[in-house]
Amino acid sequence: MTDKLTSAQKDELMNQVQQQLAVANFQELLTKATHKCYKMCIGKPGSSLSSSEQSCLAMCMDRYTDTYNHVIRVYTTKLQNGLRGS
Amino acid sequence: MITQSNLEVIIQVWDQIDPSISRILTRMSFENEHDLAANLDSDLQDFIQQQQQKAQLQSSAHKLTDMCWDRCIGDRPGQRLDAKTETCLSNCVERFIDASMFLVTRLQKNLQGHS
Repeated sequence: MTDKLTSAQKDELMNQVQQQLAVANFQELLTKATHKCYKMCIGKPGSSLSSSEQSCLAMCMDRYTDTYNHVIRVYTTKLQNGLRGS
Repeated sequence: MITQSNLEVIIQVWDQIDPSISRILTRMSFENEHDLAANLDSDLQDFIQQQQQKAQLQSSAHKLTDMCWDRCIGDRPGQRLDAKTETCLSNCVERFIDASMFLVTRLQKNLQGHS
């Protein structure tokens, strides 16, 4: 037995880490979007979700995802260009 | 120049004020650190560092999205993000980083003044 990981174990470990990071990222997005969209779309909670509330929630979730994608793109570019020089 | 030890002080201070800044600084601090777990397989070490950076980036992006959504998106979601909203979001992110870096530099000067 050696204390080194085999190459297969290493690949497995890397895959696991990447998957868990992706899951955590998605959960964070969902949690944040749920709070924002609840606030935006459900003004007065009724006895069930109305169809207009549902379409507002769906559109809000899509725009929140667009916003996240836009923000991370701008943020990454700014960090790469701006931070090095300053 | 920021040394490793006063960077750690700055990181601790920023952790209280705004963790997203302390994460940026932690990343800078990582780049300075050479003797990190010397026995660890170098592929794995590179991979872990990359994933840590990615996690930090994503976490900061979530905070910025939260903040800039409140500032740039109105009462109802639109069919798409229009050009005006995208500009607002870009300015929101870029000026936040500028403001943060301005304050970090100012804080750093204050700390150096006291030592």
